[in-house]
Amino acid sequence: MIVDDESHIRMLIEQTLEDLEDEGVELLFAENGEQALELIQKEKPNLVFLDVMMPKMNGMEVCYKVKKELKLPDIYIILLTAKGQEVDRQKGLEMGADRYMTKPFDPDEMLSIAEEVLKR
Amino acid sequence: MKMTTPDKRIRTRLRALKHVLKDAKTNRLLTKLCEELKLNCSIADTQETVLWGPHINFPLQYPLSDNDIAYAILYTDQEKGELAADLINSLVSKDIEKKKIGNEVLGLYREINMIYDFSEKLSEKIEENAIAEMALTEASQIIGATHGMFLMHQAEADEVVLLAAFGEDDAREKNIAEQNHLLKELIKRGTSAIVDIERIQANPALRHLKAMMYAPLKVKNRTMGMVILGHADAKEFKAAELKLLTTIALQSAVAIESAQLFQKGLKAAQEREDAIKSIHQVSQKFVPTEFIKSLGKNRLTEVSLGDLAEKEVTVMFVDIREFTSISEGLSPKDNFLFINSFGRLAILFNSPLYLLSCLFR
Repeated sequence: MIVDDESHIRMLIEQTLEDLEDEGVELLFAENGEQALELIQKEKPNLVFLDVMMPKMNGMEVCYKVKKELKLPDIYIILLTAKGQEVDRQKGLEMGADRYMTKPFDPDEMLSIAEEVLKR
Repeated sequence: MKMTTPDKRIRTRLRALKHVLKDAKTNRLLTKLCEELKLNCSIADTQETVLWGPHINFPLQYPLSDNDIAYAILYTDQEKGELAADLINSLVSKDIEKKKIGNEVLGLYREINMIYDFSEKLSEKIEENAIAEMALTEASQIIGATHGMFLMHQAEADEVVLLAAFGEDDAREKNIAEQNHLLKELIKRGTSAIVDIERIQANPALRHLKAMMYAPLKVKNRTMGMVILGHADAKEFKAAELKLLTTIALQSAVAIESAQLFQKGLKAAQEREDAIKSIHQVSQKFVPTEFIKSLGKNRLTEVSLGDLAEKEVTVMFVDIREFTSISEGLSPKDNFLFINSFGRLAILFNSPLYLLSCLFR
C-alpha cells in the first residue's frame, strides 16, 4: 500500500513497484492519513509505504494507531520523510515503524526492500 | 494450457488491462453496458485465463489489442459485444499512456537523485583533484563512457592541463600538449556539444574513440576548463546525456571555485598570521614581554592607557661613575653599545630593562 498526499510520488512508487504486480502483488493507494487508516483496517496490507507529512492525520499518527491501538504488528510499515528531517527518525521508530526511508528515495533500493519484506 | 511467460509488450498491456478491470467504476460501467445491450461477455488472456466475466464459452471472439499487439480476447454471445471490446481497448490504451509518462517521470526522478547525491558528495571535497576525479567517476557511471578527461585552463601559464582522466590512452599527455591551442579555443568558447563522428575520425588524437561529447566548467561568465567524455564502442551520445554532463560540469566548476577560494582564504590567513608574528617580534624589542606580563597581559595590544599593577619588587640601582665624561669621549655607536651592555647585565640580575633607562637621565 502506498500512502502519500502527492500524486506524483504515488505514481513514482507505483512505477517503481510495478514488476511486483506480475508476481501477484496488489498495489493499493491512499492520499491522506484518514484514508490510509481506513484502508489498512479493511485490507490488512502486508507492506505500507507511509509518508510522514500529510494532511488529515500525519504518517506518525497513522503508524501509532496501526501498531499500538489497532495492534496490527504484522503490517510492515516503512515511513517516508524528506531528506533533512532525519531527526524524526527516532520518533518514527518509537511510533512503531519497522523501517525508515528518506525522500528522494532510491527506486532500486525501494524495490529490493519491498521484495524482501513481501517474501517473508 | 500451461502458463508461459508472455513477452514484455504483452505483459505491459495485460497489466494495464488488469488495472482497468480492477477499477470499480469501470467494472460498473462494463456490467451496465452488458445489461443495456442484453449480452454476455468475458475477458480472458491469450492463455484463456478468465480475467473478467463468467467463462469463455461464447461463440464470438474479439481480440483486445493496442498498437497491433493482441494481449487478450473478449468472448461474447452477440456482435454488439464489439462495443465492449472497443471500450476496454480505449481504457487500456489510456492506462498504458499513463504508465509511459510514469516511467519517464521515474527516469527523471532517478536523474535528480543522482545529481542530488553528486552535489552532496561534492560538498565534502575541498581539493581540486578530488573534485575532478569524482566528477569523472559520476559522469561515467551515470552516462556511461569508456574515456574521460577533466581539463583546466591555467590563466597564469595560459595552458590547458589535465586534472583527472580515465580510460586507456597512452598518448593522452602528449596529445594534450600538442593540441593545447585547440583545447584552449574550445574552453574559451564555453559551450557544450556532441562531436560529429567525422570530426572524431579526422583528429588522429581521437582515433580510439567512436563517440565524444564535452561540457564547459563554467562559473558566472568565466570558463575555467572542460569535461570530455568518450566512448570506444559505436554509441551515440544523446542530448539528454549531454544535458547531464553539462549539469555535472557546472556543479564541479562551482565546487572548484569554492576550493580555490578556500585555498586563497587559507593562504591569506597564513600571511596575516605571519605579519602579526613579525610585528609582535619587533614590538618586543621596544617593550619587553616581561614588562607586559608584569601588568598581567600577554600582548602589547592588550595594554591600555592607565593599566597598572602593584607588586613588591627588588630594585637594583646601578650608577655609572662619570658617565657624562665617558660618553663625551665615545662615538655615538660606541656609546650606544656601552649602554646596551648594561642591558645584558640587567638581564643577568633578572631585573626589568626599563629600570636601567632610569639610570641615564
